[in-house]
Amino acid sequence: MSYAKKYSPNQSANRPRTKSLKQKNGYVLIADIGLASSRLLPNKRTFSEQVKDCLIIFIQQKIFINNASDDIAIILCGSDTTKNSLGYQNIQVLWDMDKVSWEAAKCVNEIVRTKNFEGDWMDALGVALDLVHRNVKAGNVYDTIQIIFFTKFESPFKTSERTQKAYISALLAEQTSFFIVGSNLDQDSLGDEKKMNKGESVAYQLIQEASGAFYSFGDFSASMLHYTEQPKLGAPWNVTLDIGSKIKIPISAYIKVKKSESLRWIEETNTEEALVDRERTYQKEQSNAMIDREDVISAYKYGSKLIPVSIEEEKHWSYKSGNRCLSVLAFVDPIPPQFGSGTGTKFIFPHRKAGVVDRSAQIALSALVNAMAEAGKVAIVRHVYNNNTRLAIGVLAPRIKFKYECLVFHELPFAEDWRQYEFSPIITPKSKPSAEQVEAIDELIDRLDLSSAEEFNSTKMSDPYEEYIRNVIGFKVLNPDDPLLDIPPHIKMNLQPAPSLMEGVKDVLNRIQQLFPLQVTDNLKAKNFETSKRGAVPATEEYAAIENEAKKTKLDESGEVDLESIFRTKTVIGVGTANPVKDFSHLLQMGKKPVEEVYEEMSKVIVKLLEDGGGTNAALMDKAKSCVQAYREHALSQGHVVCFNRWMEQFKEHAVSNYFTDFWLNYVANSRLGLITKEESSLSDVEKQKAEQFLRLSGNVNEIDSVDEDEELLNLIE
Amino acid sequence: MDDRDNPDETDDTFDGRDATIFLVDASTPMFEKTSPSADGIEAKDDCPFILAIRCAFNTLRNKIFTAPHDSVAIVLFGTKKTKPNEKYGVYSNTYLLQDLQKPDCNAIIQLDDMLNKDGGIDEYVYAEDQQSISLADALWLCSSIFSKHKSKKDNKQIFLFTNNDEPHSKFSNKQKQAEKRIGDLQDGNVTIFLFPIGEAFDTSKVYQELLLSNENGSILSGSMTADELLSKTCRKGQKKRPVANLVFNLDSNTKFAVKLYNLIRPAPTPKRMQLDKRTNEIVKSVTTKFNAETAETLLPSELMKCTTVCGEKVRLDKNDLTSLKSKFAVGFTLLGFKPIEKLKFHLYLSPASFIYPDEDLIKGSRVLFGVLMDRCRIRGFTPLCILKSTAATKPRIVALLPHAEEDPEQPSVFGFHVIYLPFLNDVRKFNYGDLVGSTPVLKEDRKYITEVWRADRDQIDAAVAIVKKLSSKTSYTPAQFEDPALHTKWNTLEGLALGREDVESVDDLALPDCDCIDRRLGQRSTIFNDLVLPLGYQPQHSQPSALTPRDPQHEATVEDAARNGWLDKLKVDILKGYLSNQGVHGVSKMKKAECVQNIKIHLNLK
Repeated sequence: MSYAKKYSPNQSANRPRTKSLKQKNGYVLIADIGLASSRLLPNKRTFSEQVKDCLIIFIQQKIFINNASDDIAIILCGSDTTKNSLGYQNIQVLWDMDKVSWEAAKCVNEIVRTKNFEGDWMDALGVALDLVHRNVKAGNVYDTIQIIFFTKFESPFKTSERTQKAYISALLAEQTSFFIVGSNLDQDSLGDEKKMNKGESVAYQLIQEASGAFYSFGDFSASMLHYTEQPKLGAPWNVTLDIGSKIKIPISAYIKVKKSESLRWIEETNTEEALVDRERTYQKEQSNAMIDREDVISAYKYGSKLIPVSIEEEKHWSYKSGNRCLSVLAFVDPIPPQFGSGTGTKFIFPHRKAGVVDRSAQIALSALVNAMAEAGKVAIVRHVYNNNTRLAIGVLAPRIKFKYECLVFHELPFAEDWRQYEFSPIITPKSKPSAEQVEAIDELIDRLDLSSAEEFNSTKMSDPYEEYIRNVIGFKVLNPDDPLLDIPPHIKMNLQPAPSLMEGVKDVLNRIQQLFPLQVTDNLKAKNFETSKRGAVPATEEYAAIENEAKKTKLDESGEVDLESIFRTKTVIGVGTANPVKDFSHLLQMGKKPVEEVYEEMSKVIVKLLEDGGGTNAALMDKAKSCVQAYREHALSQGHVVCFNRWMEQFKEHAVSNYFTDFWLNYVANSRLGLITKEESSLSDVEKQKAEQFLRLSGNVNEIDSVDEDEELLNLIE
Repeated sequence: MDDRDNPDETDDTFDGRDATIFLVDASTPMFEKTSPSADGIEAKDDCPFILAIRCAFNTLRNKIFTAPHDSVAIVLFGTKKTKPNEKYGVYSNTYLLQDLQKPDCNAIIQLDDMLNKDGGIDEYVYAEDQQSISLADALWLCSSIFSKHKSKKDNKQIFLFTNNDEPHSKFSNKQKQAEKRIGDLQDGNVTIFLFPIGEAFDTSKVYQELLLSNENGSILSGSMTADELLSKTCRKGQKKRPVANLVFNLDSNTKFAVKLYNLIRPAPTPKRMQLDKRTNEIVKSVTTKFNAETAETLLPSELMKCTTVCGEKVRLDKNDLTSLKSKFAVGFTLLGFKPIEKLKFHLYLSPASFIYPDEDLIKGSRVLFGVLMDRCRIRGFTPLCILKSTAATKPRIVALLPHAEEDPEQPSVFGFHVIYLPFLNDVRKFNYGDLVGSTPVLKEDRKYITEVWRADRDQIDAAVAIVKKLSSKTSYTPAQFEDPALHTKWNTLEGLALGREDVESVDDLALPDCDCIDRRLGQRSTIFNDLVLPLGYQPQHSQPSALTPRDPQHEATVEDAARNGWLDKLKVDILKGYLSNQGVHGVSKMKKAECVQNIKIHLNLK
């Protein structure tokens, strides 16, 4: 603990701090689920439903941050059950102060709904304050304590000046903030007696004396849900900042910006919850013959020549970056933001050991930081993280604030990392924009000027994808069998400009549309068409055909996709390789050829596609897969099961003996296009197990990426 | 190119390979050594022909590592000797030095010999009279080379090196023939770049008309020095390839299209591969997945993704998990405009990207993009957008930095830099009070205010003197520092492959020249140290010992300790160093206890 803290005017700093640094927050959530909560809100949901969602999202958020160390309590007001230490009617302590957990969320999910009772909100608040008081007395230390009350103040309550005074002193004693969520008060009506109901004005008085705020549901999800993440200090990187051989300033560098890590996912089997083991084997590229690990050596390719190089040899001749260092090469003008490399930013502070800052180092660093700021320069430095690890070039820029001074470090690219493409001028003397065009864009900039707005300050927004995936996980925990959740509106809100703002620029945008002729080309249509279809399982042969056609045009590289051609019908005489699925379904519909003959043609086409692609061309394999799929679906629906299964067995033999194993595993087996089973059709005599077995290859193999190789390299560098 | 961030960096229009023909003038003027230039700087002893061959040589040496699937050919024209070729037939006064092929040892050795052996180019030196030079024939050979080339999808280009600005007169028959050939080549999507050598080269005589009439032609400014020419070929050799073509939404109805480029991404290093040591056949490593309980092998479809959050296990289908990302729309969405100075660019997150209008997706994009960029640049605003670049990436908030730069020495750059901004979760919150020292000071109103320790005026002045003395006049560009690690690897592998005795050593430009810095600073460093550091100051922090933990010296110590049972008293990095010296894998992830355990196992101790 720093010396300064003892004199800090802020009382909270005087609280004894636990050594573990694991500070936690305490939250008491009170939900009014009395009679009035059945009322419908403008979004066609009842008040209690809305509260339930808020509670669950809130708990979910707390689970994902600060290692789920925050404490939470849930109190229901207006419940059918009475359960509290003060004996107040219809107040139920649903969840006593405890670490946040999914159990709490599940409990809320199950219990919270409108009850036919009424609870006194002052009673509920009293229970909450008592609960907080008892917990703090029991030795729990909270960084902040918040009571969040979801209510519309529509139930009767009793209050007196004495009670209110007692409450205020209780709130102040533990520095508890009090928030009201769900009332429709806007900023103007706050404090205006006429616009507030009695409950609101009492609550307003409490908040005025203590601390807190009124929130609508929208504000709640926009601001309260944002994490109050605890300061997170990684391990320092200790080194001296060198300028020549004479000046050495001991520093500690801390990571300030780094892409936050997503959740870690591991693989499991889908049937039982068994872990997956991996085994690595070596095979000859040509013959797939297995090789012992001992017989494998590493090599590099130089043109057609292979150069065997053992890891030891490479260690011997590879570049040695030398000792850990941070050494100034020169001072230069500030570097434009587009020249950044590496994975984030470090802040460089004076060296600190066991919580004690080296005073001389701080003075030296301060002198340098201020000198750089005055001279308007930044430093180019050599950065080696540890003895003989990767060398990087980086920049140190001064940062001077009231509370601290430091150097900001990030990496810079090497010459080889930089691609110097040429981008010719966009506005040329020939294409000078008109005054109207310039004016329209200027107006757009003016109307969408966010200078004064706090909106879209990225460092105050949570990562929408991470937030979404947390939501999905939370939803999955509470509703294991439901389909996945779509992106919730409060996340979508962060991905688009405020609708009110957009409303205001409608006319400008209309003008822009008129002034700048923009014409969507077929390329974009084709691109959208493809992306919208990608990943979706073709619903019918028709779709598959369109998809294939689109793919084919892509292969042809004509650059322009003629949508007409995709839908054009033509007379089909046999199954061709160009558009087999369409031909196939067309011929079968026409009924001019016997089914067996069409099947025969189709099977030939499948084999031809694989042979043409050499068993490796992804587009052709995809095409072949849709053929197999179409064939199988038709056979299944028309009862030609035996015929299909017979062909399938032949086909597998053919595929395996011709090294089309990739196709078999990744296309046929993956989409489960094997034998038609008993379960699928009564005409089949194939057991499910047999069909599963059939899809496997003996000695099933999947190629992996070079993860392990990277690890070896890492070891090498270290 | 490999990109660690966006693995799916592809473009639909071609498969990413280049086929380049170096078409080098080998007539008399190309062998005339340039006279020392007027300002007294000794010009290099190279004639233009050597320069051109050196460009080809460098390109091959570079491509063999960075783009081994590209093809390169070298055609000389204006030679007396014609090299008849069965494949392409006979063309007068042309010499096919190297056929279009992937870079390989022989080609590199051939050029190396030409450049570095005495009399290496004698064979090619030739003084044919001007009249017999036929650009048309040389171009004809080029087009037949391209037409016989197997990979049709390659991006075809010709680099034409000459110092003769008038191979034939403007209205001659030969000029007409050349014009026709160039037309044919350009119809076949071949791009022709002219590398004029010598500042006196007058492009207006012949070449302007020949090349600029077509949009595929391009003339680079005249080059005098070798370095200039080399860097120009190097830049042209870089493949300008967008990462994605995206729609930029001003709102749901008003949209234009952009091409997204990554101008800064880590250069790929040569990849290690595996061989069967008995036969030198290439070996692939294959991972088989099987059920840990039943030992059954598993199909990809039998796998699920699973994560544990707060004690609750959540299982998701693999496809469902990937589909979550694709629920966000791909492209740019405009959020608004902020003044450039309001953005926190010091919170750097990841390398920037670059956008340029794309007329192929939406016609008219160019004008709108141009005006938007121009107004933002003039008014000092940056558009703030949501960007999702590919199906597999997360949406991010980006600031677009307008850039308009036209420098005759550098390629011009017009467009927006895309600067990725960090989200709340990416920025770590600090308790600055813990990181910097401060002293509480009693103020008049009886309140304590903490004052951060800061340097005083004298100390700052001493530091200013240092900063000013070490300030460089040129501003930083990435081209200043080559990666010594990468070049060491390239040079060593090249040396091994070509059987060279000694490997070209690499200059480490990123190594501070302490002597020079000390000399330049002179007394200034002593003054600074005396002012900021107390007498006899010893930093608490000592540099890590130069002795690395992996030093074999520790081996005896570790083994001794293991036998005596006090391994756990040793430092963990010494234990790790020992293990990795002994060839144990996965050391970096081990905990200390695991290290101790592993050493015991290694030494067969219980």
